[in-house]
Amino acid sequence: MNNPLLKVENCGIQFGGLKALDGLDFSLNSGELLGVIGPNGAGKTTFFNLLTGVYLPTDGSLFFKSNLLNQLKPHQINQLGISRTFQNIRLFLNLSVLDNVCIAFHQHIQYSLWDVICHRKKYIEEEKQIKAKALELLERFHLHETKNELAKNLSYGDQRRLEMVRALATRPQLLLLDEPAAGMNPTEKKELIELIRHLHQELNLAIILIEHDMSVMMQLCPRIIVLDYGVVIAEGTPEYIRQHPAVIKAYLGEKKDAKSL
Amino acid sequence: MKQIFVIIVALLILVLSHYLLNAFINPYYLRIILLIGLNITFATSLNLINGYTGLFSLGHAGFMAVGAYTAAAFSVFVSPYLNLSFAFIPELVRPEIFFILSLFLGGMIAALIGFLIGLPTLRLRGDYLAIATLGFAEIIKVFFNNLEAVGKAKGFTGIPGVPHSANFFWIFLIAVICVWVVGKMTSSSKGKDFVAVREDEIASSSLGLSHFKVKMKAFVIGSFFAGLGGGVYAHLEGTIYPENFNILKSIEFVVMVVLGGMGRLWGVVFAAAFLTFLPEFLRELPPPLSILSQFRMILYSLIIIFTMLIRSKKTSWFVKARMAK
Amino acid sequence: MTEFIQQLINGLAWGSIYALIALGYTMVYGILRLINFAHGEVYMIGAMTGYYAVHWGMGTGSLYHLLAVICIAMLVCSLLGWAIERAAYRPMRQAPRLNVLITAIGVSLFLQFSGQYIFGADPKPFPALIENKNVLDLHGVVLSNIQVTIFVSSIVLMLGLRYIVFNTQMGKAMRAVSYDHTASYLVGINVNRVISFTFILGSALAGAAGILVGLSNPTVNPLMGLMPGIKAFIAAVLGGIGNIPGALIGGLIMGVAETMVSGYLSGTYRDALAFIILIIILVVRPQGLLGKSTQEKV
Repeated sequence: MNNPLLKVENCGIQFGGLKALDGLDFSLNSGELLGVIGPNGAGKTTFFNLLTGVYLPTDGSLFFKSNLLNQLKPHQINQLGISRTFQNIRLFLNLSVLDNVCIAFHQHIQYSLWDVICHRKKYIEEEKQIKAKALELLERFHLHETKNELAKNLSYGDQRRLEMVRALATRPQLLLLDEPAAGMNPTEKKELIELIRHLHQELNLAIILIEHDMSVMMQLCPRIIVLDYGVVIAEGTPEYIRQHPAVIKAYLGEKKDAKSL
Repeated sequence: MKQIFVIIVALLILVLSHYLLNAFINPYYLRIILLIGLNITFATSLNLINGYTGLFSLGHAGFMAVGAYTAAAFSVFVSPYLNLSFAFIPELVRPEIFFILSLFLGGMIAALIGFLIGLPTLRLRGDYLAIATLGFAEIIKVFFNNLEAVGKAKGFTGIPGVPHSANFFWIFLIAVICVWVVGKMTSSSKGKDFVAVREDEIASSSLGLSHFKVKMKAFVIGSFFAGLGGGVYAHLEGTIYPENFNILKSIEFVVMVVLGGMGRLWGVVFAAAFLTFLPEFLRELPPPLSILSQFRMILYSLIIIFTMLIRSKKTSWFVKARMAK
Repeated sequence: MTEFIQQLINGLAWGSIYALIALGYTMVYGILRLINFAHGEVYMIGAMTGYYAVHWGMGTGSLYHLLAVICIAMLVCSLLGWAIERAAYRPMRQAPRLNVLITAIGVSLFLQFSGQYIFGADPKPFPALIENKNVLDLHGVVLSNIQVTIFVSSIVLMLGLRYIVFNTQMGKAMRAVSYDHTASYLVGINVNRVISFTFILGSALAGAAGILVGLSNPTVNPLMGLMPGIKAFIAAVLGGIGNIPGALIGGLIMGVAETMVSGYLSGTYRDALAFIILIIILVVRPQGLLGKSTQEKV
């Protein structure tokens, strides 16, 4: 009964001759917070795309709550309980902030379109509840004042936060955050760290975090995986990672190279 | 309780205006008004597909044709027999019941065809979909052109309907229902998925929306109303030809949706009314200006081009403003 | 058997015309990812130019006259293609693709209906530029000099296109732009000029196709571009859109298939055939016979 939430078994993907990810093998328990780092092009976002069904793995298998994810479509994977944000933000730009969040609730909506057409009580009341819940979520991310703005008119940091709200609204058990702190200033980053920590503890939410900002990673993640050229080169606590020679090599190059310069 | 009251009032208004219009307006203008009602149905149902869901169907006239021929065939071939077997229903309402039955059948068959056409085509990217739907509309036209039972290219004649069935009351009832359904759906949280799929397919599927299902929903509902409207159209005309449902017809609806603003409910309703009225208006102008009515289609094409150019000016201005930030 | 070979020859002649039009579609799609709906109308204008050129004093009868008329039509169509791109598509470079597609439909309608107004809606008899003779008669299989002309001109034009695309600086630039606009800008390619050139090239081929179709069809009219235009586009999709040899193969297959259907079944099914081919190809192999499939980047 002590199954891990997510189990990745020897997973990989090939684009033509290029192995973008190879031999990925780890598991994640529910409520765990995992960081993924690595140089540009190491395969971090590709990993998210594999998990969410945007790409199909060419080797190995992925299990979520004992369901095989390999052949599932992105929307089916989300319905199982994995939700994500995108590296380059993908909001519904021409919809209002509130609508962006309300759409994400759709799986949990009880009324049918027929109730809408007949303007039944069921629809009116539930719609009110959805709006209230969406507002509550927005408020936690300090976005409630902009609820009627179009998403395209928000600032970059607000758009990132809105994307997180939207991902949370589908009520996932596993949240994948792709560089949530990108483009934020130090104060915003600090707030974000607090927020992620709160969500993690309060909802017992498992989170996988991709981030370039090391300070964010070190503060948040008890366990970090380092990817380079599609392969895991190190895995462990932040301290362990910081000392690991392979990691230093991947980021800074080899020592003797530096000397010979 | 309140809802029933509203419905009754709406029906009363429709009945009242029906009798007023029939009494005071000459048949020529009444026909224009009826066509406006029909075009509102067609344009609004296409708006759901092209405007809200961001698909690009160029084959709306095909679904209209399916509805028109099905409903007409029902009225011509089936209703006379039913008339005998259901003699116990009072003479006053019997034709109306059969009429509604034929329309409903037309709508359902159109929706079914829409579903079947959607299966292969809705997986395609936007611009391929345009050509594929255009192709299907053409195939439907060729089908009716070769079908002996409905008169081939010579036309399907003898469809009953005027003045009893295809009248102001039914046409505007259908238009109101269509606008209500589309407007209501797209303003609810559940029905916002149409717009979500239009805005970003990958993001919406990451939120658990199957974009194929959403597109199919829009396509089937849109085809249903097109079929419904087609059925009324057949009864209004009395004779229908496959050429009534050619590409130009589809394009007329597209112009209405484009001019009204894709995904804007009332904009499209007004555009449908305006563009139906416009050629008649141009024809009524004094001689030097009345020549404009010959340019109707040229005018349509210019409307398409300039609406799009103006709209892209706005977007490019927006892009610049964002880059400046 | 004789009939089959005869149909095949007729089909190939008709197919070469489709191929010439399809090349224009495929080049524009390769570069702008746009179905240039107005392309069929450019072809119509080509045929109309031929008609008016002869009426306004160009003589007929010799091969030189034919060549001259083809050149004039190609010139007029290049200008038209350039103007369409400049006026309607260039201001929309940043706009969503769907909006550009709608504009293209608008341009196509505009040319059709202005054509109806200017030239008149009635079909016009196309002048006999060269006298119709049979150059070959083998056991009942007939090859006319018009068909020979169509084959020869198409082959010459396609070889010319091949030379331009693969052996010149401009051709290299075209291929670069079809991969990536921004990257092409960065290596110093004037992307707008390349796009204009592509429209000019494609429209010139469509103009030539307009004259060639005038040779074999008795009449021309302002709406003649609509169906062949759409069918040529389908031919381009069949071969793999964006792929030049694909357009050629797709055009020939389409021409032969249509001639066979009208020869052995019935002419009324001819128009539906192209769309049935389209649906099959889109379901079975959406990238076309020679195309490569692509995936959207996240």
